[in-house]
Amino acid sequence: MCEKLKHCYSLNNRGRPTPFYGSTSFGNVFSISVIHSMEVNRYSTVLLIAALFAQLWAIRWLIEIGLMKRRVLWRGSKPFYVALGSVKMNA
Amino acid sequence: MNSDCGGLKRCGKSSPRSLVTKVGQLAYWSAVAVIFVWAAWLRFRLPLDPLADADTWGYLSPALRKLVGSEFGHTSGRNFIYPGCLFLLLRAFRDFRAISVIQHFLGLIAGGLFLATWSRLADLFPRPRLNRVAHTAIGLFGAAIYLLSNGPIFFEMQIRPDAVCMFFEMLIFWVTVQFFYYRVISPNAWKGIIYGIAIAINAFILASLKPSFMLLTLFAVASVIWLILNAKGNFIGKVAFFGIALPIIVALTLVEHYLSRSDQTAKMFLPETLFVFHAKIIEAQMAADLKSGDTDTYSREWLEGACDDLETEIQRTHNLYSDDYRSLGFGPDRLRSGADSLLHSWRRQLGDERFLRFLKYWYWHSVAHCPLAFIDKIAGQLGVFYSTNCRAFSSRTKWPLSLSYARSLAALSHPQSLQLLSKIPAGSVFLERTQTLRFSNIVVHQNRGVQICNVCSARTYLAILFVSVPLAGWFVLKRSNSEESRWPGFFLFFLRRQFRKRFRHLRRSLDGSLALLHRSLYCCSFRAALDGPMVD
Repeated sequence: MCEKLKHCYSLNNRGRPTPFYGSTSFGNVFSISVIHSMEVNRYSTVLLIAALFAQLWAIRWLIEIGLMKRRVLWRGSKPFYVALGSVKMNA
Repeated sequence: MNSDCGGLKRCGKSSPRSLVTKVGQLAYWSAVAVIFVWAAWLRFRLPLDPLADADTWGYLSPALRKLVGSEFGHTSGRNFIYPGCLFLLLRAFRDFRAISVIQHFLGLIAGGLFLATWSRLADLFPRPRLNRVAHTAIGLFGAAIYLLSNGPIFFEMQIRPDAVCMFFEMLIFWVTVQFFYYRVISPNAWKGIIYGIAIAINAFILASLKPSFMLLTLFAVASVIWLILNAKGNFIGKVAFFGIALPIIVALTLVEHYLSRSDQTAKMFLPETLFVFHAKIIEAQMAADLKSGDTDTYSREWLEGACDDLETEIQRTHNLYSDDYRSLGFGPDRLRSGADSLLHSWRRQLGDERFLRFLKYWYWHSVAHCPLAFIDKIAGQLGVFYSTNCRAFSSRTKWPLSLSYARSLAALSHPQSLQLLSKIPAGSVFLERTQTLRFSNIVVHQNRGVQICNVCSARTYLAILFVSVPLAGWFVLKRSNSEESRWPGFFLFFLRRQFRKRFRHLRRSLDGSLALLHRSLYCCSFRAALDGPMVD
């Protein structure tokens, strides 16, 4: 279980923390949008720290992705056209 | 910084590498010290008397009532945690300035938690492509933006829980990262349990301070419960988690329920809020029902009058407050605030029970008949935040403090506030100082560098989110699929077709950043797919 989790939340799984930090602001913005109005400035400003953290984390993560070798990036799945079976994969 | 410390300990004798590490650490802690000293100076150079606004009464009056010997209870549908803290502060320090001082300290601690969380996040990458120095520099940059911006400082000076909420947001981030670290990276069952309990309690307190954080709370707590329940073994730890977190949450809930029993506003607050912020849709539904003759629930004459009054009021507030609520197109708060407001007059006419039924009926009746109008309203409000100028980042360059104190004095000058404040010595002093400060002519200017960072962050927030979240989702799909899954392929294929169809249209109709975003997504992921098999 621990190894599986390690795989899911960090290391080679390069996606999950980004939606987590994005969702912290989104949950709040969505709740206020349903009940109240985001046009009240303080509802946005109170999210400064969460939005800033999420944004910097996203930038850091995008840099990490950008610096990855494509081989590492694609390990574990086939390109879409191979998966679709429409085009033969080049040697 | 943990790994750096480890590196230092391992080095028995001085080597070029340990020297570099030492210099790096010295530079890091020097930068941290400069940022925190600067942030503290920005906070404590300002007058420490807190600012009041229209909502302050709901938070301050329970504390003041208790201080003059009356019962502590809810006012205006607020919670008990923040007013309870105000009571404890005012009782302990007998000075209103203690509120600002404590909130300033919480702001600084939140900055420290920002750095601690960021530093811990580096441990989630065992083989990072971006080196630790660059990672640390990004964290320092973020903490500096937060600590040196005027927005949080302004919140910390107000008598309302927003500054405390920012602290709890960061505290939840930190305990969550710590929880995952001790659960996943460096397994330690008991530390995981302790951080799990901390997440549950903090999340509950945050949701209690501001109910809009409820979704975040549910998300965080559900994840923690799921991970703790799914852990192998450690039965005692699981029992300890539920045995400690649950009673605390239940106790807080019961106290909240007990204290709000005499607060009539608590019952009316949500229905009134829902009614006034959807008044335009509800008015259209009322008019449609009157036109079709479907008015069985209320007398036609009364409903016609109510509908006309609502339309008139919406039009009036549209003309007066169209700048404040551009998306809604009218001033919703004006429909319910003040003794002569429309909702107050209906309440007098109908009585409390019937008025509450009226509000609930028309809200749910409108939701059932015009769901698209509600979806449109929600989308419009989401668009206010998720725009090319995200409002989370303050773009205000000047902050005239005298104006804020003038508003504060106006908010405190209601007969009820004045009566209570004048009964305690600290209250009278607070009023006198506020009166003096409104003529102080202090104008706070935001640092130009911080201002530029805020503006850049506001402009790029949506674009970065739109690039990173779909990419992250794609990675999740790619990881969870295994070899035979075709979801990532279909996802990219679908995106490609959509882009081909609509790219020109997008470029014309949407602003530049959205087009850039689609291009980035196209370049980052789709192009990579087209390039063929991976060759190193």
